[in-house]
Amino acid sequence: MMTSRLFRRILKTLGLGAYFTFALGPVIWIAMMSLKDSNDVIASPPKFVFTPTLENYKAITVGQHANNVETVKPDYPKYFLNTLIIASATVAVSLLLGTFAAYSLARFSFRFKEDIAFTFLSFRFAPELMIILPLYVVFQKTGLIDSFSGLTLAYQLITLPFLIWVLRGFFEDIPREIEQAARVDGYTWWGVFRRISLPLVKPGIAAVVILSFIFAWNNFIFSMILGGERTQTITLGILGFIGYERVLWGQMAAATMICVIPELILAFFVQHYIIRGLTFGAVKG
Amino acid sequence: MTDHALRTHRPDPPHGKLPYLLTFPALIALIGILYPFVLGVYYTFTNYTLTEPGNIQWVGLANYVEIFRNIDFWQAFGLTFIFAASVVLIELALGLGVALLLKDAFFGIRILRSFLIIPMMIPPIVSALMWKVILLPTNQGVLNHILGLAGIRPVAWLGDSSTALVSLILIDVWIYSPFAVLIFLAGLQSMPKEPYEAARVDGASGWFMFRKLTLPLLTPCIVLVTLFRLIDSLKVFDIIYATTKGGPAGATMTLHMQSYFEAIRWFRMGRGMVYLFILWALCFIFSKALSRLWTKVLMR
Repeated sequence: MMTSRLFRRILKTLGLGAYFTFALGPVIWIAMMSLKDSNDVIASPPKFVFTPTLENYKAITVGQHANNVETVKPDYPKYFLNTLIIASATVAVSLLLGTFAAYSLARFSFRFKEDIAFTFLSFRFAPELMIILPLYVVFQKTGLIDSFSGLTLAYQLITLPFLIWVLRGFFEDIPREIEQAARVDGYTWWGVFRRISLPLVKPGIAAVVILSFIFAWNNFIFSMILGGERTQTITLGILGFIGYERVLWGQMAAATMICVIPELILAFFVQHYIIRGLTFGAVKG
Repeated sequence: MTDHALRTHRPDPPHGKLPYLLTFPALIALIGILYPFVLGVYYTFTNYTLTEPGNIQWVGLANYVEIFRNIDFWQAFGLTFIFAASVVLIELALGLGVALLLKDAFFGIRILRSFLIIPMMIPPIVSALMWKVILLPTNQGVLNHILGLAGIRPVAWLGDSSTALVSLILIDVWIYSPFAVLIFLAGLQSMPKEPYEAARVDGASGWFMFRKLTLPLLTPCIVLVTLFRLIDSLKVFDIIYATTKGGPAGATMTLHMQSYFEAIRWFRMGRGMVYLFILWALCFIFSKALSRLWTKVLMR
C-alpha cells in the first residue's frame, strides 16, 4: 500500500515534469539563443554551453554588430514604438466605446439586446481575413491603408467585442441591490454608474485593459494586410529577421525576448483573470 | 462555472432610449465591421481581381461552382478538419490529464499555474517562429539533437510533407494546451466534495469515480474548450504563415491559408472570398451549435 502510493506520486511528478519541460523548454531555448554570438547560434549540433553575449540585443536596439563595420540603424525600436502607439490607441478607443455598451447590456433590458450581444460575440469566431480583405479594399480607396488611425479602427475588431463581453460580466457581478439602494437615495443612472458601479469594477477594467492590450500587441494578420512600411508592427518585424536574404536566428530571438517580456510581466499581474478573459467571461476562475 | 455567457435574467424596468444611446457608439463600430463583411460576401459573386480594381463584374455562382469542382479546395477542406480535430482531441486529453495531475500536486501549484500563462501570451506567430528554430532539419535543430541522443535519426519536420502537419499540430498543442489545462483546473477546483466522499464510503474505485463523477461534472469545461479550440483551429493562420505557408507541396494548405494565396498572392479576390465565406459559415455553425450545447449543459 505504502509503496504503491509512493510509486504513484513519482509517476505523477514525472508526468508533470515532462509537461512543464515541454511547455517551458522552447522559451528557455530561445532565451539562451538570444544570448549566443553569431557562430554559436548556427552551431550544429546546437550548443548548450556557451559564453553569453548581448551582441544580438545591441544589434537590434542600437545597431552595433560585432565584426560588422557598417552599422545600419536598426528598425526594431521603431516597430516597438509603432506597436505601442497602435495597441494603446486601440485599447483607449475600445474602452471609451465599450464600457457604456457593456454596462447597458448588463443592466438594462431592451429590444434586440441579446441579438446585439451575440453579433459582437460572433466576430470572435469569424476568420479574420473575411473582414480584413474587404476592409483592405475600403482602406485603399479611403487612404487609410498604412495609417495609425486606420489600424486603430481595424484593431477594434480584436478588442471591442472582447472588452464588451468580459466587462459585461463584471458589471453583472455587482449585486443589483447596491445599485437599487443608490437609486432610492436619489442618484440618477449616471450617478450610480459613476459613483457606484465604475469603482466596483475597477479590477475588472484593469484586467480587461491589460488583456486587450496584449491581444492587440500580439496581432499579426491585421497589420500584415492593412499596415505597411510606416506602421509596421513588432510581430511583422520579428518575422522579418527570417527572410529569403537573411536568417538572423540570434537577433530574432533577442527581438522575441524584448517583445514578450513586457507583456508577460503585465500578464502575471492579471493572471487571476486570464481564463475569464480568454473564455469571454464564461469561466469565472 | 455556474454563470454563463448566454445568460437570461430578470429584466429591469424600461429605460426608454438610454440603453440604445449607450450602446450606439459600439453599434456604429459594429456596422463598421458588418459593412466589410457584406462587401466580402458581394465579392464572392464577382470576378474581382486586385490587379483590375475598375473592372468588377457580377458572375453569379461561377466562383462557387469552380471552387467546388476544384480538388485543391477539397484537399484544403479535409486538411483543415484533420488539423482541427487533431488539436482539439489532443488538447482536451492533455489538458484534462495535466489538470488532474496539477490538482493534487503537493507543492508549487500556484507557480506552475502561472508558468502556463507564458505560451498563451506570446504572439502565436512568434511562438511558431521559435518552434521553427527548434524543429530545424538535420542535427542543427535542438529537437533532432535531443532525439539523436536517444538514437532517433533526424527528421525534417516542417520541411517534409509527411511530417509538416504533425509539426504544426505540435506547435498548436504547445501554444493552446495550457488554455485547456487552466479551464479544467478551474472546473476541478470548483467541484463539490460530497459525491466523492459518498462514493468512497461505498467503496468505488478511482476509475469508476472518474468516469461517473469527474467526467460528467466536467462536461461544461469540455464543451467550452471544444468551442474555443475548434473554432480557432479551423481558422488557423498565424502559425502556418510563420512556418510552412501551406507547403511543402500543399501538405499544410488549410482553407484560411488558401484564401490568403487566392486573394493576396494571386489577386483573385472573388475566389479568395469564396474560401473565406465557406470557412466563416463553418465557424459560425460550429460556434452557434457549441454555445447552444453549452447553455444546455449548464441548465441541466
